[in-house]
Amino acid sequence: MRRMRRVRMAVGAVTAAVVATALLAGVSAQQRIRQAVIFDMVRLSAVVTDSDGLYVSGLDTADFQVFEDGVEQQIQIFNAPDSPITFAVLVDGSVSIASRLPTVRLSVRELLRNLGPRDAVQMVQFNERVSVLESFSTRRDALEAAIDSFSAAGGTAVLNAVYRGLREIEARAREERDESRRRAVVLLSDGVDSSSLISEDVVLSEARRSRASVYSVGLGQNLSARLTAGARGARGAALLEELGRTTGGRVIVPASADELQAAFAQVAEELRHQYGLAYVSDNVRRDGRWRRIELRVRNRPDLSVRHREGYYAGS
Amino acid sequence: MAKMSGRASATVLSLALAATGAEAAAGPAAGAGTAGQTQPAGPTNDLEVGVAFISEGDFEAAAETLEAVTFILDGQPASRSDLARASVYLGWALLYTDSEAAAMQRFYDAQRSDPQFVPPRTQFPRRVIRLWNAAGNRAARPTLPPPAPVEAADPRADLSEFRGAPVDTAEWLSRRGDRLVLQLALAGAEQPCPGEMLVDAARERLTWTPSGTAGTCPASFTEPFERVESVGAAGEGGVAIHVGAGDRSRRLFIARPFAAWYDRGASGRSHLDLPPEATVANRLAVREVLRSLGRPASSAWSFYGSPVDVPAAVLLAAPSTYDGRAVSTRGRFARGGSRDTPTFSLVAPGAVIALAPGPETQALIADNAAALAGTAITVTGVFRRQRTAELSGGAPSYSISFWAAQSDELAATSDGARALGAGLGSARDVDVIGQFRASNLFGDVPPRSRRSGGREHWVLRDGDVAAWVTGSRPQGDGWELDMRSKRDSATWMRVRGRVSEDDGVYYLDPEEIAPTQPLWSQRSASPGMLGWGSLPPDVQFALPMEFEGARPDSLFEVQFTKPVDPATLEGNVELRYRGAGGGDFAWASLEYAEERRSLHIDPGAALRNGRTFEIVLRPGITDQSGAPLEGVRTLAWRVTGG
Repeated sequence: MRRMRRVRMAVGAVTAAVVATALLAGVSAQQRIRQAVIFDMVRLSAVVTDSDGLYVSGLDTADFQVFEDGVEQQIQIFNAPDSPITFAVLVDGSVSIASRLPTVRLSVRELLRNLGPRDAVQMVQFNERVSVLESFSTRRDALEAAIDSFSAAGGTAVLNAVYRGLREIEARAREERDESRRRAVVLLSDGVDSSSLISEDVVLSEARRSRASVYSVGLGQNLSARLTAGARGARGAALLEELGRTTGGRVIVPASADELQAAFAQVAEELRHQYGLAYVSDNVRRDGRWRRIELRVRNRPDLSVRHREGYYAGS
Repeated sequence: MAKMSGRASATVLSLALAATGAEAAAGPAAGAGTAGQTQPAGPTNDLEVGVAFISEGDFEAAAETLEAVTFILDGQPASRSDLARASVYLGWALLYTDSEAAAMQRFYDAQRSDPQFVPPRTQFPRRVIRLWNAAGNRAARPTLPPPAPVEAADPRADLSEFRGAPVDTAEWLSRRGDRLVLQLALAGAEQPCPGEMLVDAARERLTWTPSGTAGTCPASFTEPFERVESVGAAGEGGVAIHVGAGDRSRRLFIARPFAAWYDRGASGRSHLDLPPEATVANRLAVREVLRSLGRPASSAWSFYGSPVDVPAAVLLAAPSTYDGRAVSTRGRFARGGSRDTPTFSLVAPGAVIALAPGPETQALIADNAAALAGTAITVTGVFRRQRTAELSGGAPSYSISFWAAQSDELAATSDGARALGAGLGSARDVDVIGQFRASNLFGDVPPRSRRSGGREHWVLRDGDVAAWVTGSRPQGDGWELDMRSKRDSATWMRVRGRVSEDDGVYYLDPEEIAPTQPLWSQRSASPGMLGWGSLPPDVQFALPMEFEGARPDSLFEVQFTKPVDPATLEGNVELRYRGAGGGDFAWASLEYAEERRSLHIDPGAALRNGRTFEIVLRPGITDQSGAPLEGVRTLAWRVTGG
């Protein structure tokens, strides 16, 4: 019973709850109900840099133009870089990071140091298993406690972890029904998987569907060198790069463990300069075809915009 | 670096936000910023949203939304027809969330609100129409004109009435010893043809006997097992069985309760439109027929769903239907590219599809690509549209990432099961890769089948097939395995030799033996697994993930932290609903995939919407050294949708 669908309602429970509240308050339901009709939106995160590679802030909706397969679209939602963000931090907890645990803790704290009061963070650590240490919290003390509990043992199921992180972000987005939030996944790993049930193919499919941008911080060794290594490490590095390119995120590779903290500071800096946009495609066909997205800053060809490349219609 | 502006953190533009009724001015959505442009919204918009939820099968969300809509519309005389429409859709949602009495009340309300309202018969399942008509009998009071009855639903049924309604498997499927009996309907050009399929494993015959005498229905037929080329899920919905060769060899069947699916033929149907109850029945039929045929059914499940048996040309004719889905298709294997970077493709009439071996088949294809070139092959994997070509403005191209391949050429050199079968009666040696199972310490073959000189004999096992390796101890230059201990059973061996069979037991007379890696060694040879030998096994991951819940037609996969002994799974895995009653999992199936340390669980029945389904794993499950699972593990999923 598939059919094309333009409008999606995500507030059934909210409506019922408001009705119940109105009844209790003795006020007409008609006067209380608010509807938030959420369209099938295409959501993007975007980072704008100038010719020197410096982040550009202060842009507004009118500054952006979004094209889908060459056709300009109307931006429906615009979130400035200071809007709240919901993100998941996925930290490799395999035995290989045991000697670097103190540095890892410091680095993740660096990320939290830049949080706004409404930013919500899920703290996840993974080895073979994926453990949610703190679920989407704005409480700094709870997140600090989660960082304190980081440990290191076992192998690495990074694909399981990323898949779960992306799905958790989507589930959270459906719960929050808050279009003003930007969303991201921050991964600390070498990308080398030793025991996942989920395949790379599935993780990349999920990333293409996701509204979250994926930032990966390469752990310990220089991942770039592995791109030509031809071993499992190369596959891991390529996966992280593809995740970044697909979602509008990026990979940051510290030259050594000593630079891990700086790498996280870079991620934090980028999240502070990330715009969020959403539009409803003029092309209503849900034909499964790839739609290429291009985002430009109006009359500023000198600026570069990084965002996800496109999406599969109907996915 | 530029500084951030101090503007409001978020601006919502053109998002439809509005108050209803007297308070028509736009208001902020929860958590959102300032509303910009608005568009009208009201209970009638909510009504459409509720209808949309129903079309998606999300009946709980539909019921919540429509309850609110009817509440608002009640008391607005000008909205009587909308109220009636909302009530009838609400009734539909309630009926499919097991609230038949409430549904009846809503239909009754609808008929009272607007006696002239008639639900369009093409838009409602027969189950709803039946209850609507029943409510009409109750509503026919002296003060009200009787509501208009609705005709029977469109004969081209959408089977919606089955959504959420349990179907007793015993109505159409039974097994008596070696005989599997299925009450099915065969797709005809104009109408379904009911009949009985008997799959007799003892006589190795598949028989179809129609129960009707309609002129357009084909006569009965009996085929030996070897002429049954394939059995799989059909793209049109149902079970596709290929017998012999040629275009006319494909027949489509569906479980009898769902026979209406083939009203007016199967052409133009899509399995995506089937209710989950029918999907589960199709899956069960495929699995049980394959089991009776003695063929592995492992490829009948994947992360991408049950593979759909579909000709290659159909894949390219309707690519969006199959994009990202598991398919099984046939063609000729072609090899291209260079020696260092070979490319592979499947060539069929009107279709060329790139082939990408998955981790499970990479070694297989690498070893056999030359022999395979130009030969017929069946691949099972996920079909994808390649976006790279389209990104550069080129024509669409397609690929299949495949995890299973079947070919006569592969048979002699691929996995142990096929290699043993292919080597029988052959004058040539075959290579068999399997796991060392010591001197039959796991009982993989009947103890009485041990031949004289048994101190030299040991067992090699691959999947469900095991063989005696005779006359050569498992030792070589610098290595030796212990034949009297289970300890070495994690070792994989490659045995080259001649195959023979005696009383159903395989024997391998080896020329060469050597330890080797399984085909999936890239994935399973995990550095991280080192040091886990002394720890008990535990659950590592499960799909679906518990926090996401399950759907009525979900399959489940539980991954363990280390390999477990498959023999210990039987009797130690319980499927049940939380709370009492409702669980009938007589046709459930467990399948352990050693390469991923994962247990596939097919409940064999559509799960009940609104219930919590549980899988209980007990400590009787052990790893290969006998270490038990770390306590009872209970995994739970809330079942929603339909």
